[in-house]
This record gives sequence, C-alpha cells and structure tokens, in this order.
Amino acid sequence: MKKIIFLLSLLCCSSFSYAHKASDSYLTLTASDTGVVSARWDIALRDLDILLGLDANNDRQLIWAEVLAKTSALEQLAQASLTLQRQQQDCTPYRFTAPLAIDRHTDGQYAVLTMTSQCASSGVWAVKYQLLADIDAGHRGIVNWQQAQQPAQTLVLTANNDFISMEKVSAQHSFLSFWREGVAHIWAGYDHILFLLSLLLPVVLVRQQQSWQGVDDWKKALWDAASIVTAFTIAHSLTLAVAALHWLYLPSRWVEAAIAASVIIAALHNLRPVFDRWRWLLAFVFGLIHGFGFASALSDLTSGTDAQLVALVGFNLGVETGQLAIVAIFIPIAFLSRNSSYYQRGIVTGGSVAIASVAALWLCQRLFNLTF
Amino acid sequence: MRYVLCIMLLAIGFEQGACAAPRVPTNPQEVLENLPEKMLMPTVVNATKTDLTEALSQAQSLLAHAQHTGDPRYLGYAEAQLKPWLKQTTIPDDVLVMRARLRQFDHQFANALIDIAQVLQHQARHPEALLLQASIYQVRADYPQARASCQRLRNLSTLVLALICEAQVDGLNGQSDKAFATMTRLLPSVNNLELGQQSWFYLAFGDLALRRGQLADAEKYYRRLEMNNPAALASLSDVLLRQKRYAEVQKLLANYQQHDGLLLRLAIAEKALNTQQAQALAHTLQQRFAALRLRDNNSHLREEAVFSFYVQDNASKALTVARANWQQQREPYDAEIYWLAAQKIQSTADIRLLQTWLTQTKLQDVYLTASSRVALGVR
Repeated sequence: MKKIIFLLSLLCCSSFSYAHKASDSYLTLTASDTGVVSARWDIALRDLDILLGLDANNDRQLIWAEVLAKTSALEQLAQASLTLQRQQQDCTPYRFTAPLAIDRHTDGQYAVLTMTSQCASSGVWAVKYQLLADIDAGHRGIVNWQQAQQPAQTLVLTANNDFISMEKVSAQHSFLSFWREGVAHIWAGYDHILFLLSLLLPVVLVRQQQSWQGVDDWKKALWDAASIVTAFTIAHSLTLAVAALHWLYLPSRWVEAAIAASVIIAALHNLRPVFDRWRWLLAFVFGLIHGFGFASALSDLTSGTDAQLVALVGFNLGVETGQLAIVAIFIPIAFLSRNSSYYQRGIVTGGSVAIASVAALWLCQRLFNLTF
Repeated sequence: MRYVLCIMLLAIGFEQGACAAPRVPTNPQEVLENLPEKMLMPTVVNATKTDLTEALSQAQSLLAHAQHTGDPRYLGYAEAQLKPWLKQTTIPDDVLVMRARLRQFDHQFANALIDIAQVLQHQARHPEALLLQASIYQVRADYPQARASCQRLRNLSTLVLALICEAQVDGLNGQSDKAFATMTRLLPSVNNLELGQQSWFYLAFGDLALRRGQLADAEKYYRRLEMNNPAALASLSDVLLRQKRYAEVQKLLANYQQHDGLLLRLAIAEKALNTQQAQALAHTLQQRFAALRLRDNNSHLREEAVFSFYVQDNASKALTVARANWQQQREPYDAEIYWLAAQKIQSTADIRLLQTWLTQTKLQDVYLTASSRVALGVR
C-alpha cells in the first residue's frame, strides 16, 4: 500500500485560513469615446521576480536598481500577457506613457506600469489575460474597467488563452433582482402594508364632531396620502441606509416588536384621532423603525460580498414601488366609497380594530418569542 | 489630508487602489522587497512537466510549504504543476487527490468532494481520499457521512487512523465521553505514528478537550505540537484567549504577522491589552480582508466575522459575515461566532435556525450548549 502522505492540517485546516495573500495584479483600464484605452497595471515584485529573475545578484533583497534594469523586459511581458480587443480586432501595442514606478499594496511592493493603446472606435470589448499562466494557478487579474459614459465595473480574470468579453452584465442583473426582492418584501411583509393602510384609511375623510365625513375634494385626499407616503419613505430610507451600511444596529427582536406596536398605534389612532391632519408625522416617526426592519430583510439577501450600494438602492426602490402600487390600488376605491357608512364604519372603524388585534398578537409573539 | 480621504474611501467600500500613490524611487540602492527563499522557484519556472511523479512531488512540497508558511501563492504554484494532467480526459487518481487537497485548503469543499468521489470510484478504500472526505464532511457538520468515511478506513494498516477519525466525529456528535476515552486509550501508542500523524492526533485531542471545556488539557496537548506551524499556533492562541491570557498570546504571535489568521488573534490580544499598535493591526487586517473580497475569495469569512465582532465591536456586520460563512462551513467555531453575533443583535430568526441545527446535529460544545440552553429556556 502506498504510504499516506500526512500533513498536519489535513484534517484540521479549515479552522484557519491563509496568511499573506494569493497573487493578484491590479489593472485599471479607462476607455475614451474614440477607443483610446489608458491603463495602469500594478504587478507584485515578488511575481515579477519569478517571471523575469529581477534579483540579479541573488541575495533575495530586491533593490530599485535591479528592478529598473529590467524595465524593457517588464514592458515586453506586459505586451505579451495582456491583449485587448474591440470588435474582434487587436488594439495597438502599448505605448508606455510614464516612467516605471513603485506602489505599496497589502502584501508588498508592486511595479506600476502606465500605458495606452488605440482600439477600434466601436464594438464589443474583450480581453485576454495570460500573466503567470502555467506558473501560478491561483493568480488573478483584478480589473477596474471604466468605459466612457458607463459605470465602472470590476472583473476578476484568470490566466487563459481565450478572450473574455468585457461587456456589462452582472451589476444590472443584481440591481434588478434586489429591486424585485424589495417589491416582494413589502407585499409579503403584512406588517408594513397594514401600517401604511391604517394611516391611509382616513385620508378620504374629515373628522367632524366625533364622526367621519367624506372629503369634497379629491386633491385634498391625494395630497394627504402623498405626504404620508413621502414621510414614511424618507424615514425608512434613512434608517435602512444607516443599518445596511452597519453604522448603527438595533436588536432585531425589539425592532420587530416595535414595528408591531407601530401598527397597533396607527390602527387605534383611527378610532380616536389625535394627530388627525398630522398623520404624516406618525408615518415619519414609525417609518424610522420600519427602516431597521427592511435592513434585516436586506441583510438576509446580501452576504457581505455583494455590491452594497447597488443592493441598497435597488432594494429600497423596490420597496417604494411596492408601496406606490398599494396606494394606487387603495386610494381610488376608498375615494369612491368614502360617503358610504360601509366604508366609514365597516372599513375604517372595523378594519382598524381588526388590524390592531392582529398586530397585538404579533407584538406578544415577538416580545415573548412565542410561536402559535 | 490625502490619508483622511483614503480612510473615508475605504470606509465606504472603495478598496485597494483608492489610495494608490505610485512613486519613482530616487535612490537606486533603495531596498524594495525581501524576497522569499528561492528553494522552489527555479523548478516552478523551468519544469517541463512531463514526469507525473516529479510533478506530484513538486506539488506535494509546494503544498507543504503553503501550509507551513501559510502563504497561498504556493497553492497556486502547486496547482499549476498539475495542469498538463488536469487537461486530460481521464485525470490520474493521484492528481485528483492532490487537487482535492489544494481545493480543501482553499475552502472549495464542494469541488474537493467531487474529485474525491472520482478517486473512490476507482479505489474504494483509498486511505488519503477517505481521510480527506471525512474531514470535509466534518467541516460541513455532516457527521453521519463523516463517520461512514472513517469506518471505511478500518483496515489493519490504517486502524489507528480510523479510530482517531471516528473519535473526532464522535466528539462533536453527541458521544464526547466515548471519544475522550478512545483518545486517552490511544495516547500511549501515539509515539509509533509518523510525525505528521502525531501532530494530527494532538491537535484533534486538544480540540476535543477544548470543546468539553477542559482548557488545561487542551493546552497540554496543543503544547506537544511543534510551535512553528500556523495551525498549532492558532489553536494554542485560542485556548489562551479563552482564558484572557492576552500577554502570552502577544508574545507567541509577535513574529507571525504575515499570517491573517494569526494576525487576527494578535489583534484581539493587543486590543484587550490596549496597546499602541492595536489600531494599526486592525487596519492591516481590514485591508487584507478587502483585498481577498476583491478577488472573490470567501475563504476568510470566519476570520472576518470574528474580526468584526471582537476587534471592531460591530456585531451587525459580524452577523452578516457569519451568516454567509455558515453557508460554506459549520465547524464549532463557525457556529460559535454566528451564535455570539446573533445573540448580541437578538436576531430571532438566526437564533432559531441555530437552535434547530444544534438539536439536529447533537453538537457537543460547552461554549454553545451552555449559552443556547439559557436561550432555549425562553421558548
């Protein structure tokens, strides 16, 4: 039987990850309208030593003169290891536009090459990356790719003999998916809908001598609804951002409980209105709490490696869209039925009592960690 | 001013490069870099790679070097050695085992399992493949599968390995006392094992004692390891940290700052000791995690969660990272940091998930079961 090769960490290594850092090169590519690409390429001196034998006197101490002496070899390496194409046409060989420089990264010193190339003026971009191919399978080229009039994107390249397309796909996709999640969250999370509905129920009514009357003017109702929705939106966007960026956190159990409490208060308020024309203020204050709730839903979706800003904006816009859809469905129906006693008693009074009861149940559940 | 701007850019998520300021040195004699020993370099470049035995032994020593120094560049060099054979339609078993080990080290557990499965199709009792498989199932907390892999090692020649392997699984999976008895019984005969196997035994025994709350025992066994290996240093540091023996950790790890896992433990100790360089260590770690994230590498998530929780006092971020980490590995340490963050945030959903998981897996760990029992009382 073959001898078992045994290494200390064979069965225990994952308690533990790396040191140092795997090899990366950092490439910033900026394309102009006319197809001129400006590049800055940072390559670790350690990697260059393997490829070009920088350490001429073999003392394992690399001095600037040794690096400088290999400038032309380094430039040839760049020409050979990075090929840009547009419309399936190779771009011109690089012109080096600044002297060789040095910069520090987390794992040591890097050589910095600054160069330009002329490419076709239109068409699809592609790149072939071959640095350290056949030598270091873990090496990656990390590209910051900036096309004219487009948001920058990051590409992670593995050495390969094929061209890789540099056209944008990922960011938009994830933005859309976060938007969808936002819409889904507001429709699936009944607490947010019920809170909003509780505040919106009376916008088509005015309070007169302890009872409700329908409003005469639809503009007034719409204005009321708009101010409530806007206040709620501003407030929860604020706290959603604060929490999603990890600037502040609140225990989710208390947040969830406070959200339930906010629904109770909003619903009961319809029975004995105190802030009648000031409901937008309620929307704002409690909106702050709902924002923390959205944040915990969002953090379930992102893993800490996702593009945070894209996720945040996409998700928030999704929430707003879902919310506007609710308003768009509810307001016309409410306005048309505002003068019926069915609406005034049945929906506003009865509905509020029902909402408050459901929310009270949630509150107990969340406060005392019960499951029914 | 530039520095302040850099910090701000880093804080809002711009990483690496945001602060780059290339310079052209003026002194030709300026020392830029101390390069690592050349031992393996010439073969890396010049190898013609036609001889499989030669390539495997190269890959083997490169992997050993990666484990010894904790420098992942050597993993990449090792994998590159295998490239000609990896392109073949039928990859030789030895190459698959080697790639599985490289992938395991890089936390690509699913891919490693695929390689191992292929090998076991050809050689059902390939000892190294079985041990590797058992270890990955353990990391994923799939204890029945892990135990099955261990049991298939119960040949005469590998019986001791099978017993240690099974004890490791039992120790986590509801039979801690039985495991402890087995390990104690094996202790006198350990000297007959190869050096690497001895280290494995002491590390496993130490871990078992630690999870039983027997910190003095854990320390005793960890101290039998050679203290020049990152895995050994990390384990010993963890025992010391649990006892708040920060100054000892500081002394132990002062010269191992290249290693992220060890730097993390050093940063925790220095923070507790409130030293001057604590801030700088935290900043370095933050940059290293950012650099890993930039290359889409997720092997550091546990460390990053621990870092956010203990060094940055940011339980909310720790929870987010620990949750992502949970999707790829579920060792006691992973459960522990996830649990701590979920508790601190009072995140009901996460706490429930972990409680259910603990009940299902029957994980035995004083650091988890004690605190979860308290929380279970609420329900």
